[in-house]
Amino acid sequence: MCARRFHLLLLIQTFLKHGDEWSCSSCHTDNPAAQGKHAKSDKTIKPLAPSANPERFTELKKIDKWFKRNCNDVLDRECTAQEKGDFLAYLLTIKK
Amino acid sequence: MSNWINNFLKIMPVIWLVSGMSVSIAQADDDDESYGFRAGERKISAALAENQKWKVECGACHLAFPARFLPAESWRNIMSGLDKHFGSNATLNAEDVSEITAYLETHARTKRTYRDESGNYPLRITGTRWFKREHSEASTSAKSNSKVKSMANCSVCHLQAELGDYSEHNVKIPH
Repeated sequence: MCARRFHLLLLIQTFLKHGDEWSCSSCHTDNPAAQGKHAKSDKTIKPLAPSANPERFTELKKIDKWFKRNCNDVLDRECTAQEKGDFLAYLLTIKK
Repeated sequence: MSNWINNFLKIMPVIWLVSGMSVSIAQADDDDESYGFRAGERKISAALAENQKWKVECGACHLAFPARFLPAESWRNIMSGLDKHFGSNATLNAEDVSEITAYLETHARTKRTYRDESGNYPLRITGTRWFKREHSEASTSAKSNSKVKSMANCSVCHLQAELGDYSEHNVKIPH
């Protein structure tokens, strides 16, 4: 259920994307299991989904850092614990 | 007095020999050094001690730009505004901010050409006078080159940029 809710949020975000505004997919592509590319610098980003990149979400400091940055970039605020949980649940449903 | 001159003349060849030797050692060192970087008239050895945090954190989103490309004032301004870092949030924890800032300050440059035309400290490396002078020809062709995209993408043309080598002989502008 949570995963579905987050997926919906993600879809809304993707569709709301316009102009210079960023969504998750701006850098991570529409497929979390695929390699991404930084929207501005073009730097390669390893896949977001743990199925495709087992290193993801294994280091707490890194997780906190990126949630803070990316939620602010996409939503202009920090994410709630609920949203972070939903996001992780959604990512865990992604198969390689 | 003549005694002093005599003594001096005696040791003169030794001084000359030693200084000549040290110059040739320095040159040999320079030739071996693949991390050379030409900024104006000075070739600076980039065999500077690299900071792992700088490399990892700055290098996570873009090429970790060398500290020697900007003055300390610029780095301080950049590092104190990471929440609005050229359009994205690049915040770090306080401990990492201070370690990286200290590293950047230590290796920053202080020359006047490292400021912009008005003498201000730019936030962008591309805003410094040295950068504009070094890239005056490249800028024109790069603007129309879709592969370059931005003058901040050093490694598109500077093939060894990731290793800290920005020397001219490792430049290849894509067509």
